[in-house]
Parts: sequence; C-alpha cells; structure tokens
Amino acid sequence: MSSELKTIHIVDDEPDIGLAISMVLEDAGYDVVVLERGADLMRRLQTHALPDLILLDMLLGGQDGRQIVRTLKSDPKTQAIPVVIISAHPMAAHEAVASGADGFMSKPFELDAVLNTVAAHLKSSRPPA
Amino acid sequence: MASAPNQKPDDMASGVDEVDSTNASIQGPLTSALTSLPNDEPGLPDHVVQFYETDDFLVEQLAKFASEGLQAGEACVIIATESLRERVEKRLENEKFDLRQAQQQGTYITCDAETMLPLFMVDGTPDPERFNRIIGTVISRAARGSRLPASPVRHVRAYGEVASLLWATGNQEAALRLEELWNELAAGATCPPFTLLCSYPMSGFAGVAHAAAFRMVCENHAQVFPGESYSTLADSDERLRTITMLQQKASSLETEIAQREEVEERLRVSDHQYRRLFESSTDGILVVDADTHTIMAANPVAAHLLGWMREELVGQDLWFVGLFPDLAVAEEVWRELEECGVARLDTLALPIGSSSQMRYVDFVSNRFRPNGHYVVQCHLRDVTERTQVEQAQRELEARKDAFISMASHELRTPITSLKAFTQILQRRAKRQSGEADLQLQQVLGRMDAQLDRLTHLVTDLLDLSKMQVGSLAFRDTCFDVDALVHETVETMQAVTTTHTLSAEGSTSAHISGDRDRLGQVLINLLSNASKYSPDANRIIVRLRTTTTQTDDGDQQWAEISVQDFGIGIAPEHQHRVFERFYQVGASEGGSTYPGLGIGLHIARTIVERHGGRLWMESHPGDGSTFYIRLPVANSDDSLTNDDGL
Repeated sequence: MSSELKTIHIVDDEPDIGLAISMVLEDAGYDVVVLERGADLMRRLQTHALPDLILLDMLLGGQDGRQIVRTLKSDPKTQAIPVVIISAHPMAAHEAVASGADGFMSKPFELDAVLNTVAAHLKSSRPPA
Repeated sequence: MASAPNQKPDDMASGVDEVDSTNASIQGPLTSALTSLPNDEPGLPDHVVQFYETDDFLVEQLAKFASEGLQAGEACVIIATESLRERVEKRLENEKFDLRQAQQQGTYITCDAETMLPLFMVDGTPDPERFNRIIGTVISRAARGSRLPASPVRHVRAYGEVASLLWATGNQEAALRLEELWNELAAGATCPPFTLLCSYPMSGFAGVAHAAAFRMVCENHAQVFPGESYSTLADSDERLRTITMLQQKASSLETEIAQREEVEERLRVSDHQYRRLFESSTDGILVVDADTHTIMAANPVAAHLLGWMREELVGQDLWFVGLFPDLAVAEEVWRELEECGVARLDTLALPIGSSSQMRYVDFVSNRFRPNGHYVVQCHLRDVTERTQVEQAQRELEARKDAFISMASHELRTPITSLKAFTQILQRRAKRQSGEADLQLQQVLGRMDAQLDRLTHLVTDLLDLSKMQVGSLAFRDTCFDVDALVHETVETMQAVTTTHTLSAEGSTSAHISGDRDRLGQVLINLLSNASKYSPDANRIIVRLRTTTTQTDDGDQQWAEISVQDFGIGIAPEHQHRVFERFYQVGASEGGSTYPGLGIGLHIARTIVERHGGRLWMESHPGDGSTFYIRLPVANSDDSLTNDDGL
C-alpha cells in the first residue's frame, strides 16, 4: 500500500458489520482499521496517525456514539476528521447531525451507498494540517 | 260597650247595697250568661271558661264577673297573678266598688295564684286532698263571710288562674287534672255552692298538636266563651257571618295543613334519602362554609380518606386538614370557586396514617347558596387503585418503548451483516465470468431483494408497535410537496422494472410535517400499486391543490393521488383496507398477496397525524386510486424550511 492511501476507522461493536464494511472498503483501495469500542478509537487517535474518516456506530455496547462525536469535534486535534454515524435507527439521522456528525447512514445499507458516502466526505474534507 | 242581647235589666241591679251600681255598662257574653241564670238553681253553669286574645279583654271580663257578683250580694274569690289582680282591682275601684270594705266583710278574697299553686302540687300533679282543703277553705270562708258570722251563706263567684298557669308552663296534664278537681269540689257536699270562672289565652292553643287537649279543656267546663274577636260581636247576624267565615278559615287551614303535612312527609323522605346517600356514599363528601372554610358536615368516607375522626373533622378549617398540598393550592381552589363556581384537582396525594404509603383522591367542589349563605360541597374520590394501575401502565409502556428500540437495533444488526456479505459476494461473483457465476449472481440478487423485504417488514412492525405505545416520533419541517413526490417517484422507478411511474400536475405548495414519514407513505402506496397490478405496466401519480371552506375561512389542501390499473378492490373491502392486519382475500380463505396487512394502516395514521386524509376509490378490474390530502402550510408557519434535506 502506498502512503497516500486514505485511512478509514470503523467503530462498530458488531464484528461482522466491521468486517463486511472493511472488506468492501479495502477492495476499493482504502486502508481500514476496525475497532469495536469507543475507548479503542480514542486510544488509537492518541497513539497513531489520524485517520481521514471515521465510520462510527451510534450505539456501541451501551456507549453513545454521539458523545464520541462531540468529544472529537470539540478537540482541535480531531475536529477536522469527517465522522459518519451509522445506526440501526433509521429516524436517528437528525440526532446524529445534531451531535456534530458530518453524515449519517441507516442500517442496513447498500455497499454502493457506503462507498459513495465515504468518497463524498473524503473529497469535501479539509486536508490534514 | 254594647249590651248583651239576652241580658235581663233587672238582674243587673238586684240587691247589693254596699257597692255602687253605676257600672251597668260593663257587659259581655260571659257576664250576661252568668247573670241571666239564678245562682241557686240546679244545672247552673257552675264552671265556665273564658278564652281571650288580649289581657285587656281578660281584665275587662274578670272585672265584670266580680262586679256583677258583688252587686248581687255574692262573695268573690280571685286566685290570680299579682299583675292581673292589680289591674282588675284598679278597674273595680274606678267603678267605685269599696273593695277594702268587702275584704273586711270577708266577701272579697284574693289569693296569689303563684304562691298558692305549690301548696297543693305534689310531684308535678295537683293533690286532691290538699286542693280540696285549701280551696275548699277559701270558698267556705267567702261564703260565710269572716267578720259577720250571723250572715247567711252567700253564693261565691270564684276566679282561678292556677290551671292556666300550669298550662303555660307546659304541664297540660296537671292543668286538665286541676279542672277536674275544681268540678269534683263543686259537686261535693262539703263546699258551699260557687261559680267558677277559668280563663286561657287563645295563644296557648296555637297549633294542631293542641287540638285534643283544647277539646278536653272545653269538655271540663259547663260553658265555654270564645275569645273577644267573637265575644265582642253584638249583632247575631254578624256572629253568624263570623262563624261562617271561621268555618271557611278552619276548612282552608285543614286543607292547608294536610297539604303541608304531605309536603313535609315528602321532605322528610327526601331528606332521609339524601342523608342516606350522604352517609353511605362511596365518595367522601364535605360541606364547607365558603367564607371561613369551616367543615360543617363530613360523611364517614371523607373522614376515613383524610385520616380524621369524623367528630373531630367537623368544625375544622378545610385548608388545614391535610387535603391540599399547600396554602397556595387551597387559595387557588377558592379563587376558582368564586369565579367559576366549580374547582377540581386530580390525583391529590394523601398520606395513609404515619406510613410512607400514599392514597390518591380526585377532588371536585361546587360553590352554591342554599339559604342565602354560600357553601362549598366537596367530593373526594379514592383513585389510589386507578393511579397505581396508571403508574404501572406508564412504566410498562416505557419498558415497551425501550424494548421496541432495542428490538429495532437487534433485528437490523444481523440483517445489516447479511446484506453486506451478500453484496460482497455479488461484487466478487461479478468479477468472475461464466454461466455458473451468472446463476450465482442471480441467486445473490434474490438474497439481497429478500433482505430488503425483511428490512421493510421489520420497519413496519416496529412502526406499528411504536404507534400502539404512542411513541412514533415525528420531526416536523416545512417542505415542498412536489419535490418530495418527484424524488420518491424517481427512487421507486430506480428499483421497479415492471412498471413505468409518471408524475403529472403540481401543487407548488409547502406543507408542514415529517418529510421522511410522508415519503414512507408514498413509497407504501407506490409499492402497493405495483404489487396489485401485476398485469399492468404503468402507475400515474397526480398532484393538485384544492380548497375547502371551514369556519376559520378557506383551507387549501395539497392532493396527491396514486392510480394503478390492476385488480382493484371490491366495494365490500374498500372501507376495511385501512384496518390493522386486514388483507383483501384473507376473509374468503382465498389466496392473498404477500404482506402483513399493516402498511395502509400505518400510512393512514401518519397522514391523519398531519391533519390530512387518506382514502381510496376503486373499481374491480379497472384498478384503484389512493388519495392523500394534506393541509397546505400558511405562509406565516415558522417551522424550519427543510427542503431537500
């Protein structure tokens, strides 16, 4: 993989969903890291290079994805990273956007829609400082 | 004063030397009756009674009674109260009677009735022996004359007020007994002959209850003289008229009394019924003084609910018996009562004894004025059980709501995985070539379609559950109807290969509502149109505006119709297709189209939530048209414009 590969973090407590998304994104040429918990994500952001995009499940084993979005968006270091919330509650789009997320996808989703959403947010995001 | 009609002038002046006879003008029925009869003949009215309406009349009559006796050489015994004696004597002295001399001769004896009465009363009843001894002595002394032993025995005129005094004190039995004793004394051989005059005020017999006793008083006397309103009438024609009028009055009174008794009986029954209702009511009832909030009456349930002894509760200030949570609430209730006449408070919490458990009551009060003074009637209904059930219901609904959210998440998660993996397989199969792989792609395509179907079913079921617990969320914005319709038609066309969808017309209207939910309704109607017209190839969506008149003016509506050219719906099913779980064909046991029978029910609920209507027209064999009518938003609706989001 070249160093210009876009890195995407997927945070979902359902490993199969993480696996499925990562398979299609990797096929599409992205560098994908799958994480199961919010705490894993926060730790990785402290210790590794920042991703170009985060796909975040809204409900993470009792943890609220919206709170993670608020934390990321209030930290100058991470606030520029586009965050797309995915949720099994189709009517949760407005709540997701209200929490500061850049996009929303309802479960179940079409893989084409995932690829389009990822591409759109990567294109519109600011280049890392 | 006019003379009595049957008076004999000779009687008036017969043989009394010592007194002046110039008072012949004093006349009346009593005196004329007494003086018209020789005193020593058997069968004399030796015991007469005079009724009177005013004391003046009694004084007058008694003075005449005495003066005629004295003039006739008879002796007089007056047993009367001091005031009556003084007035009679003054009257006699005015007529030049020398009472002092008569007293010295023993022919005029006065006794104080109030002093004499206790002398012969034993245990509230006149004692015959004492009475005979005391009264007999007085009569005998008067008959003989104390200072003139040689004088002949005189006839005695006696006046007794003692029976009347007993009557006035309420001891009617003793008064009647005393009258009998007078009669027995007169009939006995030991006592010289005397004529007795009794008197009773008419006011002492007012009331139906005295009728029997009055009759007995009359029976105890040989002759009865009515009160002055009749006695003073001189003319016989006038007396007849008066008697006739009295008879009419008596008859009217009897009727009136009967009517009153009937009314009183009804009132008693009614009062008894209300008292029973009050006492046995399962609601607590309090009657409270509107000015002072003092509890005037409380039924047993009210006392029980408030945790007071009933006797203690009456007299308390309602504001301070623990009913109202604080003084401000009590003041507010009273203010409302003054303004509206009615005030109510739901689910007031009352502690049960000293425990931490609570009882809940609904409080309803009315202010009214039964007798010129405002009272407040309060009803307390124990709603503890209902409140607890409602609380449990709310908790259950909250749990249901939480369950639905969780179920939504839990059901969608495996579908998401399956769908994602299916699509990955589809992608990988596409990269391969060959007939076998083409077949694989088809199978994977079917799997994906079935997963979509499963997703929709799950969505519908969860929406239905949320509707049942009232937690289906709506997010209202103001949006362009035409844009939503065109966008939905395009989306559906993208996944429909069997039909051509077309949109005609426009509304150019904005409506206020949940864009996603209304989009969901349109998708449902378009899916049904496609599903129920397998042999047709087109579906037409039309847009237009229409206006109806309401009380508040004209109302504009955006109307969207979806027409298919399919099997249609028979008239008997048309009004039922919006019912929950209803499916055309299922009732006849015939084959049905796939589905849960909840899509149209959800659609109608969503449309009605927006103040709109969803209905259909159909002709079997020609197809169906479904109409959605939604109120056009006013230009001043200040909801967020959410076009295109």
